[in-house]
Amino acid sequence: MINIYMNRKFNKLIKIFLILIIPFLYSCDKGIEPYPVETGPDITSFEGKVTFVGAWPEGINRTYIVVFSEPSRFDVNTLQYIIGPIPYGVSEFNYNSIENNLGLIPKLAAGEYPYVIVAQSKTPELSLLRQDWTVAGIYFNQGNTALPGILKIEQGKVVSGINITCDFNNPPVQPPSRWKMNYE
Amino acid sequence: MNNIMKYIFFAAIILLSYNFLSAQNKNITGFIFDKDNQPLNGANVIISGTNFGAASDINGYFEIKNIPFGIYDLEISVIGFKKEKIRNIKFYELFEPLRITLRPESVETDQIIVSAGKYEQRISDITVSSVVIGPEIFSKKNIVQLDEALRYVPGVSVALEQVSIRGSSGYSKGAGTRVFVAVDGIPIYTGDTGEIVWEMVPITDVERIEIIKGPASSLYGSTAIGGVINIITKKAASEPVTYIKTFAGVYDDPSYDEWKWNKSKRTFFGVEAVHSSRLNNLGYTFSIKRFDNDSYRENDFKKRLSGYLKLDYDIDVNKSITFIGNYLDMNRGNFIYWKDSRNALIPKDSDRDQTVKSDRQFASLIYKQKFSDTFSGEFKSSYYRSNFEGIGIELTTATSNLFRNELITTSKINDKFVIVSGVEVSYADVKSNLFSSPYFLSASAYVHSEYKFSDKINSTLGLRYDFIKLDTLAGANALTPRAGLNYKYSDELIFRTSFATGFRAPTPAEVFTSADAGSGIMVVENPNLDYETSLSFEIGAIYQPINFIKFDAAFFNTDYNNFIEPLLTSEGNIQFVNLPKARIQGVDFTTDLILIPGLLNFSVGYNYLWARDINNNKAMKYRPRNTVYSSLEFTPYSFEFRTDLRYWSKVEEIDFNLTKPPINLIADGENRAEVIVVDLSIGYNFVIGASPFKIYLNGKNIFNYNYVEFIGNLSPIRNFSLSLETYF
Repeated sequence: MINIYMNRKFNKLIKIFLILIIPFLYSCDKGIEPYPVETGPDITSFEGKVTFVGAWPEGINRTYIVVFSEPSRFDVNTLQYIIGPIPYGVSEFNYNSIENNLGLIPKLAAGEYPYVIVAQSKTPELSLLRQDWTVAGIYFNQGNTALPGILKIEQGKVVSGINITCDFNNPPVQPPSRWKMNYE
Repeated sequence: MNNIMKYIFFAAIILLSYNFLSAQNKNITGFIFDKDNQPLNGANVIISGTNFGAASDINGYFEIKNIPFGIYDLEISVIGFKKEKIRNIKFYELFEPLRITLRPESVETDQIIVSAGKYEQRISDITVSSVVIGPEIFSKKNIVQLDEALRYVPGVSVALEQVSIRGSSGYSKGAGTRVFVAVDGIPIYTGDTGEIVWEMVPITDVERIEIIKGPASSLYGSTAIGGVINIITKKAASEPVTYIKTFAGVYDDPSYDEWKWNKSKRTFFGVEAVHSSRLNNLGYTFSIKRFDNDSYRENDFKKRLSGYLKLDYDIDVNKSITFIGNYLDMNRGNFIYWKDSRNALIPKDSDRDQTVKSDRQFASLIYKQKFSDTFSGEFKSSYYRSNFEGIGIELTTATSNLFRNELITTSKINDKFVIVSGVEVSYADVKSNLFSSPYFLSASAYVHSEYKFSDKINSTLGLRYDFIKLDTLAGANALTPRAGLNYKYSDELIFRTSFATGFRAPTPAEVFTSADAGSGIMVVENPNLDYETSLSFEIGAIYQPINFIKFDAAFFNTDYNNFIEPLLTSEGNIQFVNLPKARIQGVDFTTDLILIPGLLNFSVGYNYLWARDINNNKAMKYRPRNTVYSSLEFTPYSFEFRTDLRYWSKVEEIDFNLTKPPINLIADGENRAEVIVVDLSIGYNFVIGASPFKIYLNGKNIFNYNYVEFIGNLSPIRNFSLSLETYF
């Protein structure tokens, strides 16, 4: 007798339980997914000309165009893209950011980049340390040299006219030798 | 799979061999009363896992007839009263009718807790937020490691194996902790990295787990700046009891074809045995555990063997001594980061075949003496040796020895006034090619008082002094005061508030680690690392309008100075640095509901956290802003059904620079999502021969939701396990 009573009650309770857990069993997406394999050429890029004025310093081992995500902050945390190398001693260098990509960073995403420079280094091996680099030229918007120009990259477009002048006789202001973190 | 079958067969042989007792039958009788000694009519009395049962009559009397002799569990339930379970009834010794008293069903608010003041207090009297977890969760969810259970506690989060209370820690690869994790009040962090090795927690001997949310440095010192998790172990059984558990499980296929890396199913299994008894004044418990996990990821296997021994000896009614010894031997793969999001279950090429071998030994001694009704003392001494070898391209080794002694006195001046005071000394030495070979010394003294102004108002006041010397670093001194107030507005509504200061010294690993992190990134030492301090405030309330509902809510604010976090420096190195100002604010809200007394319980907890680096005005890393935990439990007769939900909002701030070129240490590491995990558990209690059994089927992450708790580390995919346990 007790078994029959229990079975009926049990079936009823199972139904109550299932109704109550329905809110838990709502469907949801699958969370993170594998990134898709990139297909087709991406033309998102920028291009321009670097002009060198004066005699090149001796001992330069590499010269690159470097894009940073924060103004006047030259360090690995803000480094976004590298173009080069620019041959030693040239007076002009025409570039396209895809064709002349150094290869260390595969792609520059669409967005705004407030610090685009030409940087030179004398170290035998490639170094990411700030103190191993000198800024030879800075990109300014249409001759306004008060502040570094902002490079605006749009998806699927080629931005032209990103020209930089490197005047070895009149070098630009150097960013801090070591970025002073707010908490230092 | 062969191994699993072997284990199941082995376990079945062990379990069944104990189950042949007498074939004689007998009646079992008894009376059921309420707490006022009034007989309860209509209470169901069932022998767990059988069809044997009866209901009590108007006199509270019941009789179950023709029961084979044996050892049984008896379940007694009636609407409005808490279901009672009487374990291990030796029916062949039972001649007198049983007398059973049932308590009214209610959500417990008056549990005893020792971690808030280092002496026994009621939760309703304390001035800080706390949670108490019972050991049942380990069986119900087939939990083999404590951090798995902590993942379901509101206000507590676990990223990989690093625990954080109210956002006190982000993720730092096991270097340092801000939560004081202890066994019977004795901390179990290692002497080198200061990490918690969860496998060392003896979960088969847990009576309860007490969690204090918020800074407790004024009582527990440096590592308690974020809170306390204190594991209280059981007293040895008065009669010989042996408990055996075995389980086996399998991981499902991953969600995407790209992630399939192995043709066969990945499995895990384990077996553990515990025996506890008492010989006159000596109680003893010992256990041995074996756990093998293939893992759902390549080179992420884990094999471990552990042993545990606890002896408690009552010298006389006023003196006792307890020894706890624990040993762990582990061999595991070293999966550090995924290769990329298309290869989420295989490690980076450079990390392939890296393994870690470790062994750990922990021993502690607790001597208690009651000098009078008002004055008692406790001496705790412990030793923790940790040794690991990381085997990869280079061999990394670390061996640390941590010695600790603490003397605690408790003075009950009168019914209203209690003073707890103590002194503590600890010393650690480290030998390693990762952290050089530093030593660590700390000495401290504290006093904590509780004063009851009236039945409604309770206050606490505490102060601790710490001196800490870490090798070549200058010695540091810290004073950490604390104050709190508890106000019982009514029987239903209790308010609490507290101010606390916190202090945390950097660990040897945070200061001295010097190692290659891969991809040309070095972890570099920082001998200038300063200790961090905090000031926190909390106000909260418990509201229990009726026995079946309990609400607990709290607002908290903690301001940190010199907060220690790992950071990618401008030189491209990872280094632990001090953030000058950080603030963590938030609210906790939990509610426990008994929807059908004795049958259906529901609980939900919500936590909002706003943790930010003040100077850089951005969120702190690896801290979800919103978390929700809920569980629903249904226990009809011998069945148990349970479902758990865990939700984290998407973590805002991570180490973005490590996830993209030029560093690109963790390819696609920014690929993350909110966390929505649902678990399901079904259990059944039954009897074979004379022994009670429990069988649980657990489905974890049943929707196979893909998420990361830390970048480049896909969390466990859907898996199922079957566990079987018995005791005799």
